Amino acid sequence: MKRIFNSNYDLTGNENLRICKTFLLSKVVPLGCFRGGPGPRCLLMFVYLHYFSHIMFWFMVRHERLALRMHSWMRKILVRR
Amino acid sequence: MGREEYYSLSALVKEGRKRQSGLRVVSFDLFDTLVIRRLHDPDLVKQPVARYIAALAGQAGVRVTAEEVQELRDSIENRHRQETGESFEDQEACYPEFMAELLRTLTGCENTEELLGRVTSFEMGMEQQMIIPRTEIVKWLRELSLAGKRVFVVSDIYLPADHLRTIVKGAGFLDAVEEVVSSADTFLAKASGAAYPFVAEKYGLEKDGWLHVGDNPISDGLRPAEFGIDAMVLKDAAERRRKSIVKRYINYSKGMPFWRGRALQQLMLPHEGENERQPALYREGYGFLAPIIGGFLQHVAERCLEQSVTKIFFLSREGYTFKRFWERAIPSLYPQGGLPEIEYLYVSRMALAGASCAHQGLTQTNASIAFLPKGNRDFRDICRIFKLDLDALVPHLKRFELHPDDCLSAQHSGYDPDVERRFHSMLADEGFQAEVRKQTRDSSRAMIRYFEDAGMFEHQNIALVDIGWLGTIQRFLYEGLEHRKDRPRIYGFLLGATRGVVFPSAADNILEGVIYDKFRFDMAGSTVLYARDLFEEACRAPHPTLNGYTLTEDGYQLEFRQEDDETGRAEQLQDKYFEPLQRGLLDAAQRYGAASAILGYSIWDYKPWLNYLMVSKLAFPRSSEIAKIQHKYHLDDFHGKHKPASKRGTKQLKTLWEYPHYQLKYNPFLRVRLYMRHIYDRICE
Repeated sequence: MKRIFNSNYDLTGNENLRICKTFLLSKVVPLGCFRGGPGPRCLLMFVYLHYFSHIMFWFMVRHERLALRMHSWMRKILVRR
Repeated sequence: MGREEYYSLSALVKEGRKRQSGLRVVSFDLFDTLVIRRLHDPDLVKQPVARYIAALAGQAGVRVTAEEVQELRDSIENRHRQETGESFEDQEACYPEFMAELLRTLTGCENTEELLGRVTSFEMGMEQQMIIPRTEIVKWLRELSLAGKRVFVVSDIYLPADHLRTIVKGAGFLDAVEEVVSSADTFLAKASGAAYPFVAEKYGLEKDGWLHVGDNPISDGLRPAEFGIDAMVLKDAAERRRKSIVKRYINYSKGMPFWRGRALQQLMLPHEGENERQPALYREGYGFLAPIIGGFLQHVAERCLEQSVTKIFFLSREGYTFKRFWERAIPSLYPQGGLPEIEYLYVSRMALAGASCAHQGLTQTNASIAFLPKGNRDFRDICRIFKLDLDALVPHLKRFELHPDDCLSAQHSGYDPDVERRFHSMLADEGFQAEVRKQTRDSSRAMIRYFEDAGMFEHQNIALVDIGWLGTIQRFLYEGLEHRKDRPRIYGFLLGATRGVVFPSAADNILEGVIYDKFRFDMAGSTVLYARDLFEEACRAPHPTLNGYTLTEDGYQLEFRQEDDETGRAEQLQDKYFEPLQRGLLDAAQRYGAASAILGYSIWDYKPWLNYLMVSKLAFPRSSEIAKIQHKYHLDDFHGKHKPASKRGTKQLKTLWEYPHYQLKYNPFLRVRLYMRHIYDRICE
């Protein structure tokens, strides 16, 4: 007996890691039409959000101003205009 | 006096309980405190409302797009806020006022009361679908109420208190609340702090012993503290994480179609008290079958509206679950109405097979359909399926040197092509066909009477919805009605169409496979063939199959199969086993409707995700999933009881779902090998 919505905010039995596995398999075996598929960047983001982001949010709610400053600073560096 | 921040709901409630004894009044913020939304952005609820208004305007002869409606709504709401800001500190707006103006502008009518009622009711319905009470804090609120504390809900929102009360009632704690206060009624909001003195004065509250709980550091933290009351501010890290995930699913899905179905499932997920521990079958019904069946039925609805279909017949027995799913999900997608009538129709291959012979006789194609299942081998099986009296047909058999036990199926030993040729000659014989027509006339008349009762001939265009696979039921039904001039045009929709026998397509007899159709090359969709029985078991109605239609003096009688024999008992056991799967499927139906209405996508948007679901769950399932979901027994009377002798030297081909558990678990290439074979078969068929 498990919950449908697990503690990682993911679907029990169809977690993002399973999508990753199928995505990798689809590169070798023709699995069918996924209309572009999940995309590696999106997959990475979801794997991070579902499995590792709790630390980031723990920090964010406690140090919101600092987190916002860091976020805008990182955007300036990472997002080129 | 002051405000304190809490980083989890349990920490806030724990501290609240400690302070409880010294409190007399507790006011709560509503959204993101007492209740949460499945969505990250409450404005997303406005999109289906805009589509609804555009559809209503269309019915009134005004052509306007949903985007234009949304733009107009935003501009009117903003103007109302600016006007309020001239007289009050807060720039608030009131829903009935700006929505009435929007409807007046769109329709050009001054009296829009009835229309406003419909729009409000729809928007409130959508809001309620998206709102979930937070179990822990609502439990504490109830404790406070029982302890005699005065409990208020105070919210800054454009919905007046009357509308908020509906939401609180839907969330299930209105009885524990003394009053619900909204800034839309007075334009005195918590944001400026004006709401607190207003509430204190109106309800005679003292600052001492008053605690306010909310999630906004300014409105629910700083402002009450400035007013002189205690405040607890919830900064819920877990909730922010959840919203951040939903936000990305929805945003990514705009550019990447693969994520559209996943976004749908994220919005369908149960939260808080809804998210209880469930058995594996329930989870599969909720998380795997529901999006597939929802997508199928959504497509059926779209096509029926396109083709002016006025009545849908869900065919027994899988149609029972389809109909129940439809009733829960599809009306949310078409709030403006116009959907066809729906009815559950008692039919079966066995019941229709005989009735279809009353005018055309027994055709060669229909006889060959009877020999598709391996369990049928001779003329006795033909008689069983088509409800023919063998004794009356024996003279005809003798004329063609046939015996009732002659093997007519190539799948069995003893098959002789010469015997089959004589059998086909008999089918071409008018004397034999006259006897067949005579024997099946009554059941055909009974069937027609039943269909007349069901209103089938009152419509020009009807749809038949079934699970699959050959379209035999639709074939027999169409052939049974072909002699009637007032027969409707039939649009058949199957979850999967394998088209093993050529379907007699005509302008008034159309068949379409939705999730899979052999006529569309779809590798992922074809994986539905891995476990066809699973879909059948999951959707099967809790009543025995129909054996036939019996003509009575005053009409007809539906003749159901007995339930006390071996097959009947096995079916009952099977139904009991799959009950959680069906429960999960139906529990998800309403949430499918609401989530799909919010996203506004069609099945073709969801299809990449559905393809992934089918590939991962049917072609590449975990061994534990097969062990839990695997059907145990599925046969019906159409299949017969003969067993074809296995030929020496030929290896029996098994599907993945038939392999033993140890092979599924420890054979690393089994799934890939079987999948490649499956694709090869699909290409070659």
